Amino acid sequence: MKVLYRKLLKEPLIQFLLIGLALFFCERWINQKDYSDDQFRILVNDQIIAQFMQQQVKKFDPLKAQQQVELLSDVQRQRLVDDYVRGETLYREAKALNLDRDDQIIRRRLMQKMDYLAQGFYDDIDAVTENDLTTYYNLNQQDYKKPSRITFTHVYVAFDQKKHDSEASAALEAGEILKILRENNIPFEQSGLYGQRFLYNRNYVNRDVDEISSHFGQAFKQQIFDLEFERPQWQGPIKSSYGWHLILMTHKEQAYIPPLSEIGSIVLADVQRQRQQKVKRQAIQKLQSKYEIIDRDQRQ
Amino acid sequence: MLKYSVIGAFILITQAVVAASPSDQQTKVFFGDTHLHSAYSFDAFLNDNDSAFPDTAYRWARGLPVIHPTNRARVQIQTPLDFLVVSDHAEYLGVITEIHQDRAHLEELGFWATFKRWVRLSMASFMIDSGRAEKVFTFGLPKPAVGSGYDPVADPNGVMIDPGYGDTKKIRGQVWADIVATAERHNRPGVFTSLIGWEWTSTPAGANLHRVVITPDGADKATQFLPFGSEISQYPKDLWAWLAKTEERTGTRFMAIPHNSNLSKGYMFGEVTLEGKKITADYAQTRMLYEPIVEVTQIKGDSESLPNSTNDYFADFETYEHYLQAYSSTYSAKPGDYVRSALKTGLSIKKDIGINPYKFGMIGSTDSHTGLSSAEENNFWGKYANDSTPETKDQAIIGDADNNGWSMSASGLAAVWAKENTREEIFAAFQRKEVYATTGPRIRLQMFASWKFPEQAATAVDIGKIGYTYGVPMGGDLMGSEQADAPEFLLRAVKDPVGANLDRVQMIKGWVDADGVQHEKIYNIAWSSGREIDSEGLLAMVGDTVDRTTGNYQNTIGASELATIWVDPEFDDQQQAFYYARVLQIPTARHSMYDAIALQAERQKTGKSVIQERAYSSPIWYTP
Repeated sequence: MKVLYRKLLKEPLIQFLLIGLALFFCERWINQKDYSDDQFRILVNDQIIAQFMQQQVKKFDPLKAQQQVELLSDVQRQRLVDDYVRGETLYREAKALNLDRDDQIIRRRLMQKMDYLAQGFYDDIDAVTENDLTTYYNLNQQDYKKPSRITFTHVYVAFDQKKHDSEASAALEAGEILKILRENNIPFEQSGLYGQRFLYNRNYVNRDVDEISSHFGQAFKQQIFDLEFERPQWQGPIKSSYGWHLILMTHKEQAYIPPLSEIGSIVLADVQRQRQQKVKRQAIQKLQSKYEIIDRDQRQ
Repeated sequence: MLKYSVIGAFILITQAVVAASPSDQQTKVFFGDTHLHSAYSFDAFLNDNDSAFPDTAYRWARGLPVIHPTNRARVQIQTPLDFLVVSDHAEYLGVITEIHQDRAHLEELGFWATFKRWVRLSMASFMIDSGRAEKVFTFGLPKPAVGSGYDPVADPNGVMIDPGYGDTKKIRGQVWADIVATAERHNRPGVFTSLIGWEWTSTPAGANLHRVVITPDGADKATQFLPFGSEISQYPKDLWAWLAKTEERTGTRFMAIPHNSNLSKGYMFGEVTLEGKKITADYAQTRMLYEPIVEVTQIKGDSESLPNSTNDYFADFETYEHYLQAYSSTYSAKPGDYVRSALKTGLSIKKDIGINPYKFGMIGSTDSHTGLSSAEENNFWGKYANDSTPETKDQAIIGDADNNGWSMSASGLAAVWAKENTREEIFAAFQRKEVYATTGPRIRLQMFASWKFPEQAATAVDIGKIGYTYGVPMGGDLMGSEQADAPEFLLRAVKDPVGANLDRVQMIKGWVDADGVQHEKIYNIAWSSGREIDSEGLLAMVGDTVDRTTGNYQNTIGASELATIWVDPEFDDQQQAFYYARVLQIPTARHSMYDAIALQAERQKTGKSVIQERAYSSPIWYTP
């Protein structure tokens, strides 16, 4: 009997079986949690319900949530428990079946959720100081640039009138009117008494370059913005796509960057938005730093 | 020398006039869109707009580059708008978007209802994630009437389907708060105006009764209510009652703008009310209080005149013959669908009960669902996001196989004569109907009526000044006069500064005679040179300069400006009448032509190649 026992122990197959058994029990012992009935137990307490509530409303304030749970009526609390249990059951069963693996939708959902959670850090943003505002403004001034603007009135002499057989003869008439305008120092509001009706406006008050160029053409825009401007006086004629124009300019501002005092609230909103993005980026980077990236096919 | 003294005398005479009416009292023209949907509208979201929210809409309108919601390209409007209303559907406002983008917390229902909701949402999610969201949209559309009664709401198919989400007030509240806050952020008085609004989307049995509701007030008032949707009631009278009640409660002001009457199955401007009852003075008064203007042209078709209007060579313009239904049914154009016939119906009803329920002004708007208000044919980004690129335009839209992206065109704009570009002034101009419609180009149109304008008024330097001094502007009433034989109309139309020349200006007159019979007549009143009116009153076509290989046109035909005084040659001071102007551009390329060129496709496939863009003034009414 003893011989047979030893003989059997020497048998490699038996040895492997015994080692296998030992390993099996070891694993059962180490991971006993997985094999206990716990996997078929769903633990519910007020803390879990509070957490569940917070996840549902996506507002994370544990203290307040805990208070709310305490205020729940029995029926309300039971309804939350039922909800949680139903969800947890489906979730565990699905996970047990590995339904979450290789599922692009779930992957994307989880990514979105993490992304959303990262926005929760917005509250950590420090208050923006005067100094921060100035620094940001100095660095990003170009973003606040205002386009060139101009204020003028004009007297228009059209090309396509029957009395003019050429652009030049229309220019002659424009020259004569210019003389009258200058000699009599005709003011802004009386420009309408001279020349012909233009297609669009008589007066352009604080208009930007784009509008001037759409109404008069590119070349005209360039010329009027290049006009000398020291004191208001009649100038021209300048040629547009439609005819000749005599100009009385009263205001011209080149493109400029408004001072911080003028656009403080806009800059503040931009600083806050930038910080939110930064906080979120940092939160994601922090998570990423936990991982070692192994690229087996990395190109040199 | 002679010229000098003549001018001098002129100055002396006119100086008094200048002083009496300072020019800052005059109106300026502003162009905008009162009807635009963002990703918060259920149908925008289900048709691939999942990211162009109100902020994108305002940035685009103000002329900034933005990201297109579907193809992610950088896109930019060519000429920025002066004002914009983001008017998302009130029905389940933002709810579907928020659920499927996982930002919504749905209220608890009973077990069975929750389960049904879960199944429905999972199915919808699956369809959306697998790129078939438009099927979910089509599924939710109404079905044509099956009963024989007049009232479509009472029809078995007139009932709205309840998607069973439970109480969505909280989600809608959050979304509305964002819409309001975004509008506030972008409103810059004098430069750019954002008006707060929404769309009431009543479509009983496929009859389009939609209205955009707008308010000139800001967040302080707008956060005191949630938009009224058709899930509460599909009857316009209930909408008006809610507007009245809410005005009283919050001190705000409202206006409702009907649109797409072309798809209303005759109900938008019926001879009777929606319930089939006689229109009473009370009904007419309430309607005119809340609905002084109508959106007459937009991407989903033009509603100016019946497609088969007799003697109107330019009728059947961008006719859109597809009802908003889960499956198509034969389109039939009815007098209640088009504004010209509606204006005539209004005169007849007035003859009967003393008040005209259809005495409205006209505007255009886009009704785009991409968040991008695009009314430019060469820069058109679709009705929905999923028909915004040439290669996706040939698919069926809104459940109808015969209907695709080329069945529609880039239209329209609301033009407003206002003193300033502010919420108050624009709303005021809407209320006095001093507004007009264009199908996209920024055509400038002035129209005034009077019993006598000064001689040479049409060539005067400042038509506006003469118009306001001697007459009434578009949208107004011309009262009877004993001194004159016929009313005079002073008009001036100028081409879009960066657009095509003008072909002609027409006057459209409608009237009701002593026997109660309705009439209409179209007069060509100003046109570009080189053509004469023939013995039948017809004017030769202006021609066509569109290069079929590039889509470019030449302004070698047409006129940059048309101005005239027109006197009604067939005036009868005993007949009530309305007069509105129609301005036609020279032909230009339709978006479908650019697509055909880009796709190197057959022209038949992409539909009409050229389009004759136009503007419609609000009418001026004559009452004996």
